[in-house]
Amino acid sequence: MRISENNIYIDDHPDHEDLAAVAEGNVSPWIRKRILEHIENCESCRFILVELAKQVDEIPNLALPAVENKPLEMKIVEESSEDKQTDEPVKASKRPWRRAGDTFFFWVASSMFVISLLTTQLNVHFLVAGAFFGLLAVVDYSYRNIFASLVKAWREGDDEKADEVIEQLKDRFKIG
Amino acid sequence: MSIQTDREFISALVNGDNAAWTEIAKCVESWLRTASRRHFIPDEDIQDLRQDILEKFLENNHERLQRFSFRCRLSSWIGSVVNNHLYDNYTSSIRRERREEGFETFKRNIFEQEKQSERLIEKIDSREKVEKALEQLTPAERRTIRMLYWDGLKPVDIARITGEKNTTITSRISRARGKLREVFLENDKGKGEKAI
Repeated sequence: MRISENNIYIDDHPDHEDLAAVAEGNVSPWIRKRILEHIENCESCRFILVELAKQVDEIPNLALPAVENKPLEMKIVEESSEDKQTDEPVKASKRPWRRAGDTFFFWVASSMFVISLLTTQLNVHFLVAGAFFGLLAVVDYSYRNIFASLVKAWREGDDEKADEVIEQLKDRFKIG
Repeated sequence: MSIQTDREFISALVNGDNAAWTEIAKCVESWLRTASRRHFIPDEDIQDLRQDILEKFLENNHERLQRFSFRCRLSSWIGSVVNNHLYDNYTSSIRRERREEGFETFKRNIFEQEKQSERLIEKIDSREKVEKALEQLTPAERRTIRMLYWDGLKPVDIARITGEKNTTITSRISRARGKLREVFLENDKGKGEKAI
């Protein structure tokens, strides 16, 4: 609703967004007062506000279908599990280091750390190398599924899917 | 949380995401279905109305959607658009029906504790008499009574719209009823004395 400095309505009716906000009870007192004054003399706005107030609790929020809202990694994990056609539900790991345990980098990092504890010389170097490989293990875990799906798409010759994954990667790293 | 979801949703709509447009169609239908339970809109009319609303949505509201400022939920805004369309198409029959129903409830509630209530109810034979009696109330009481009886809102809905506590509304309603009862009884007594 647009209102001039002299509190005179510029438009004939408040806009739909303000009417809906009043019906939800989520509006500034000033706008509420103006709308309540307006509906005293406006049948159409009164009708809209009253109908909204009656129904607003029954209508859920709008949301895209669940699959579309999931992060890229989750979607890819689900797709790969569908390929395997297993009946067991896929559980997302809350502890990434457990999954990272499968990777090469994790074992290298662990070895470096153990060596740094055992040796008396160059132990700081081994410790730094261990930290570096540990970082690689985490990065590998985070993006392994994405790159795996890209490679899979290329192998199957599905250029469309490959382009989609590349676009999503570009978005993620803000490229282009 | 809701604003974030709505933001993502609008972005998908503007980019022409089919899934988002399907959700909009579902939301429009939900609003129509809940309205139809009260206003007895036939099923075949709902499908026509849904189609009209979606066409108008694409024509007129696409630009507004891009300027959406998240002062309310997106689903409520759609509800506002839907009810505007319903008002244009069904206003006369819905309002007449509701006002007659509200008028009868009003009369029963005002005199429910009185002896000879049937006789008193019969005396209130027009809404003009009621409107005249409403002038004796404060503006807030008048507004609340109109919302309660003429619009058929529950006290909790009135409280949400006016931004007041539920208890404030219920006590205001009973105070207003008391005042109206006194006005009507006084009028009845005055006429009786004149007749004598």
